Amino acid sequence: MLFLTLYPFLYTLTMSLSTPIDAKLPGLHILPMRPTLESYGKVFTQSGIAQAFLNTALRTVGGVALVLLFTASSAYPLSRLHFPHRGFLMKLYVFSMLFSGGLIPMYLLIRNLGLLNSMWALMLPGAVSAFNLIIMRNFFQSIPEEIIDSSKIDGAGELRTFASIVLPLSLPVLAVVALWAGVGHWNAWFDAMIYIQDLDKQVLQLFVRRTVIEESDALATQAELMHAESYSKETLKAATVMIATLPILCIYPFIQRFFVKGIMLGSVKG
Amino acid sequence: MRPNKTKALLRSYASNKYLIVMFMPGFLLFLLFHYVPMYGILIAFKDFKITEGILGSPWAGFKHFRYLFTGEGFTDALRNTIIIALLKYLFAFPAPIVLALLLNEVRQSWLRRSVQTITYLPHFFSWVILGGILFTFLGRDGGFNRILSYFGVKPVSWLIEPSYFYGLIVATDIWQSVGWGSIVYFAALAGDRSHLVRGRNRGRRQPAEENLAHHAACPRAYDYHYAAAVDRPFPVRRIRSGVQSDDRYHLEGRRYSRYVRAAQTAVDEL
Repeated sequence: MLFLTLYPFLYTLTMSLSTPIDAKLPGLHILPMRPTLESYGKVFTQSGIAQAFLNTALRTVGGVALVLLFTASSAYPLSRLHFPHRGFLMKLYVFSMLFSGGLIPMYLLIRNLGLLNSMWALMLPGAVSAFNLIIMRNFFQSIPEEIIDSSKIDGAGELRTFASIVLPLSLPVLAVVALWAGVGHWNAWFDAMIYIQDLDKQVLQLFVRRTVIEESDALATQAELMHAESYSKETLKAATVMIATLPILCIYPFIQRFFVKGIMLGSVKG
Repeated sequence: MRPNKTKALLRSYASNKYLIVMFMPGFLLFLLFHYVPMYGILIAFKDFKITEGILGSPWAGFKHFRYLFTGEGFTDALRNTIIIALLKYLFAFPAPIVLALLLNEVRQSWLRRSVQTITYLPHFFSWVILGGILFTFLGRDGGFNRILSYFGVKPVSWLIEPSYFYGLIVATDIWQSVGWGSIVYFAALAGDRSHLVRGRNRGRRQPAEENLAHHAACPRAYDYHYAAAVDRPFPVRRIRSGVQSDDRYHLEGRRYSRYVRAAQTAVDEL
């Protein structure tokens, strides 16, 4: 089981570290025979990937900030029982989980807003989603009303109460939503493929996609320049995949228990 | 009666004005990106001309539906969708339950924890990355064939042979989601166990260890199984992040991106 899950990753790692000649050899290697960073060097000198990496980092950080800001600020009022039209508004959110306008209207909307070819097109549409909102609202609702009342008696207004009482108490749910959104943004590529045309605004996943699945220009020319061996292409591909994977692999051990907490928060109640 | 109601509403608005101010930015963003595109459904009944916009285009009735249903390839696509969905129910749905039941019997907590950590690792990568890894791994000279060659199996082009397609799509789905899916089930089972242990401490009758899985664990797991059928982590994830990550896009990515590109150039040319 472990082996089944891990081996494809390990295999890619090995490939990315092998010299093109070693990778061509038949037989099963767990570890590269002559480890080399050659492929990584080649991928990095290839223009585009550093920029793509930066873009992805930017959209991840910015996207998560937007998600937290907008979701938390509109989830909190909905969690207060005296908020007008609360039930109707909640239904409005839930309804959006079932129906959406589809791709082309969305594209036209983004175009009409003048967001085409801009990072905002990647970060804004996902900023408030019904699912995150419901999770947050449920958490806010579980905070005892007495705590909030007491802060009001102490003279804090709504905003003050929210910022200095509710938010600190809600760190678990904020962390969970941030992590979900972060991983989502890091891995997203479909929206970038549609809304972004400039190569210098491209995200990492699309770069990977272009080199690995479509086998198009980016690395292929490089590979042809090298030895015109099909196998050097394989190692280059593997290296590209590893570069895109590494950040998640690095933080994974530290954040995975939050994910577990998060899925429990979302699905199993009580 | 009615003026009173209005007055009460107005008073409620006034007393909640800060909450409303807080609520609005996120809500407007939500309306913009989740409800504004919905009018795009109309496009299905119109002869869409990009210069006229969606509302300006002439009505077409059910013309497009007729075209779609009688179109070439539609029955194939429909059949494939249904078969894949059924296969996933048959195999991919029980897989996490089986994994959770197996894990539940593991006594060494370090072993159980590392199995869990590793099996839900693939969940955190986008299908672009997973696709890249699987393409290299399942290719004719990839790692899978190398393993098989040790058992005397001749290399197979897993990704090219159409008859493997159903198996492949189900197997990769399980590979990606089994660990993640098992979290909920496992938590249900673990909760169940601690309850029984508590029962023993209170001097209640304790079911024999080997019966535990059948008599206590399974019914509980079924409860969650139904809960999960309504609220599965996987489909929900798609909605939540506002980001498409469907396997359709990666296994049929080539064909799909062609359509998108065609649509894009059509829009650009105007």
